[in-house]
Amino acid sequence: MRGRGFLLWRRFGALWALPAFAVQAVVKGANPVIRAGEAEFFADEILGVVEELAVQKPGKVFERFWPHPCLGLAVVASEALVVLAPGAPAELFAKGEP
Amino acid sequence: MVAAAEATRRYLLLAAGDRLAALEARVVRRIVRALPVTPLPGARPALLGLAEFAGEPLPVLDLAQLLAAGPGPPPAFPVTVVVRLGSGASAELVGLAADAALDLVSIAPGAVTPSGEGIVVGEVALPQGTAEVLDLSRLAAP
Repeated sequence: MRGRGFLLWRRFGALWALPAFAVQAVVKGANPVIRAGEAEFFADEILGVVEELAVQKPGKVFERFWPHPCLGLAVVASEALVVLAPGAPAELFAKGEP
Repeated sequence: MVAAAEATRRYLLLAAGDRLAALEARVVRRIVRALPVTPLPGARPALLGLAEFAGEPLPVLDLAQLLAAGPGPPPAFPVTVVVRLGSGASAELVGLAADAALDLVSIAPGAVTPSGEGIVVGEVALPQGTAEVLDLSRLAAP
């Protein structure tokens, strides 16, 4: 799957992405927040938007061991990341996790 | 004699904590020095996190945790074993973090004593010690 427009951010040392169409607002500052639907994803750093991302569907093993809504996995600048599905639990990104 | 030799399969012998594990060599794509892994919040404990391998995202599992192994000696040369699970469109690359890749061994199916649970399908006595024989296709089972 190739998609266009993904917002990238870093949280807890890992890289994350959401399809840009799902993002309503990005609040920058000391404690950045991404608003998508009714969810608020906390970020440590907003990295910006990439136009294209080669997203691999999540395999059964990954889905079993990371059982949350995601569109798949990808690599940006030699770093693997999870492409979240709209509706992924924002609690994972709250303070205190992981 | 010839039939017995043909029946043997090649296994990669791995050390994980205080256990030895035998992984069928045909699923192994590469053995590399332990890849740096980024943990993911919300992951089950055996998932160490994500790594990048040859430009591809690679979920990496902790073999010692999968085996519920106890602590072993400090690993001198920890490895990530890249395995390919499934086939066709559902094939998936997964990394297994192990303390060491020890040897390639031939094991006849009759030498394996069925036992175990999870990804362990049996045990086999080898010169290196008793090894648990793995079936990683069980990783994808719900």
